[in-house]
Amino acid sequence: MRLIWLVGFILIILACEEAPKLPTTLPILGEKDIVGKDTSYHTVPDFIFVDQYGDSITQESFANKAYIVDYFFTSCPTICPKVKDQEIRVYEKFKDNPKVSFLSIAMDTEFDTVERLKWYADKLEIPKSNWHFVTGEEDLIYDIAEDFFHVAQKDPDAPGGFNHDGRLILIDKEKHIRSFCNGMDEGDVDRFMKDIETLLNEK
Amino acid sequence: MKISYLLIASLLISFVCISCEEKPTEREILFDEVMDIHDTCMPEVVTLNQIKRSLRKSKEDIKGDSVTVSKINTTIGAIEKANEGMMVWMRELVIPKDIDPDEKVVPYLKEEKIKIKKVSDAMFEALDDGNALLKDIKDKQ
Repeated sequence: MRLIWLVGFILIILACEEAPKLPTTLPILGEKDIVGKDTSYHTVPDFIFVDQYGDSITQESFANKAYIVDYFFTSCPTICPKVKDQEIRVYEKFKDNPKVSFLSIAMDTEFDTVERLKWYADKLEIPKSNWHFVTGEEDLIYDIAEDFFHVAQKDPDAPGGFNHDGRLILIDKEKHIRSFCNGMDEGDVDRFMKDIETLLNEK
Repeated sequence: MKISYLLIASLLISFVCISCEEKPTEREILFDEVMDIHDTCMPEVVTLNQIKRSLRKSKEDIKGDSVTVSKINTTIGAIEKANEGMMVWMRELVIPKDIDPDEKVVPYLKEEKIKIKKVSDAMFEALDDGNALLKDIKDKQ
């Protein structure tokens, strides 16, 4: 009888224990400069791309929005389709949220033309929406890519390593990199989606 | 006694199940091998581009050294060719459909394995050469 009371007591204590609190903010990734009391954080460089509809896409296209970036090749047979499957999950969750956009940057500038990007978006059944599949000048594309990779490699807050293979990157409305995930790892993408929610709920 | 019968029966069922497990077909094995080679070298496209850009920058810094400039040009050429090799391979690859017969798919995948291996070798060679040249340039400075 005493044992039953003891077990019951332990169960009550366990049930009363507070659930672990989710973080309310995300770190700002990348190098930071501290001058006196002011801290300036790394920001994503400006860019100008063209999307699958031939529209110009710049930082202004994402004003007051968070956006998710990835790099891909429309002809990639393995890594990119797996990442796109996961990214579609993220898209499905946030597609109706006006504060979220998607930027998929094609790296084969010769082959991945505007027409090809439109074909690719259609293949994924992505309607004209907040998901831009873009191309642009090769140097600019690789400049931005190197910037992302540099931040992820240097920053201890960046989860996991960075092998340029299928990462999804979260940028906030201030052009700061806030989170990464391995776009081929379903569990990591789940964590990334929570990060997006955290970012959207930041005050 | 009953327990022994049950034990023997369950062991027999286990053996049957294990032996019935489907083994991958030749085309499945080949497809995985082709994609493994591709997946291993694919991320190096970006690394090679980084090296190319560093070499271009070095070339501007060492304009007077014609021997090194020539080496840089050769290495950049090899990097571009290696990366282009991967792009062309991806563009031309036709993923076999399930309905395609083995007689058609197996030789095709064997050929693709040879092709992607060449692409991979060229990429890693360009990577090594590029890194070595960058190190040489850095050591000279």
